[in-house]
Amino acid sequence: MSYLALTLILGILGGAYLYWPAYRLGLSLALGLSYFLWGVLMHKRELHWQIVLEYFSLALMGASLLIFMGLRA
Amino acid sequence: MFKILSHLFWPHQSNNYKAKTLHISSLSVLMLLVMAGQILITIFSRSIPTVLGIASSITAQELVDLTNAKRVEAGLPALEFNQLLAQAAQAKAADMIVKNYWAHTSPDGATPWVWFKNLGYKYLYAGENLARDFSDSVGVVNAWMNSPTHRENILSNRCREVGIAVVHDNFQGQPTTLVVQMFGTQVSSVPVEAKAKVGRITEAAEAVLAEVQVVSSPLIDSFSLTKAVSISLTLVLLVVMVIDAVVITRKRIVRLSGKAWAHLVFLGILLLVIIGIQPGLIL
Repeated sequence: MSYLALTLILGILGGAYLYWPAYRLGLSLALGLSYFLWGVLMHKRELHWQIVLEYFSLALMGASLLIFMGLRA
Repeated sequence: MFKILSHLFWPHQSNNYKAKTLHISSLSVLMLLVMAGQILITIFSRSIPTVLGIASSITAQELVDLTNAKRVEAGLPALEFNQLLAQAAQAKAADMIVKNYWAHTSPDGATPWVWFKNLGYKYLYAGENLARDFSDSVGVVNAWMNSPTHRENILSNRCREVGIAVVHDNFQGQPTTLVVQMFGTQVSSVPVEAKAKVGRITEAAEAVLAEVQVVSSPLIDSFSLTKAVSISLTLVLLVVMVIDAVVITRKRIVRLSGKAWAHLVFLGILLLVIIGIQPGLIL
């Protein structure tokens, strides 16, 4: 269920990113932030800084790639 | 060599049963490399635009032909190309570059219709479509046709003439191709030819118009380069993540880590979005 929610949230944000080019910066940040928060919420019982950093670094890298793509497009 | 590759991409005792590529330190290095690469692309696309820049094959004639093809498909008469409208479009494009804005109305309140009036084009009906950063004419017209307001301009049965400007220049900090498409129907009783030469374009806009040139296509398109690097990076991480998940599950290794399935979903959607992104904005 939690994976379905993640897929839906990221899918909607990804679709919006492609459909509304004018809001790409905000949507890139929202996509990265959603993933990071999902990761933190899913691990709240066993939250270690390594796990937080793992989600943070992946989310930041994804958001950065989308921001750069949006700037070049 | 095999040991290095195994250390980088395979969960192993040497990398604490997590491929080194997926370690936070490696992800940080990759992100720094991406950022440095983007800075270099920006620097090179400005300093050597013939090697690295934007590749655009858009021409005014192609846009007129494609616009008319859409009208004919809809059972409407083709628009006639009007030189005054083309000049008005050039003046609008130059004004956007000089005053650094991306809008139908300029920061000092000049509407698109000011450019019609400045060139003596007396109109009954008029319209304006804008586009930027597209790589070809088909992409521009398709984007306009997918937007109800732009489509309405293209398929308006009130408009009889069209004028288009395609300008390649540095705009808002990066090399850009700006497209201005102007539609109009003249008040037929007013002879506009006599007024055509009485342009009242601002001096700054005239200066830009004089500079405007069609640049040759660069060897490497900065958008395509960024897209290729982003797809490669995401794909490598995705593959390493799959290998990591399979090996860890098979060997039943318990370790402190995020959820592999979540990472796969995130990277998968990221990859789809990057593959799907197309250049260009319309207004």
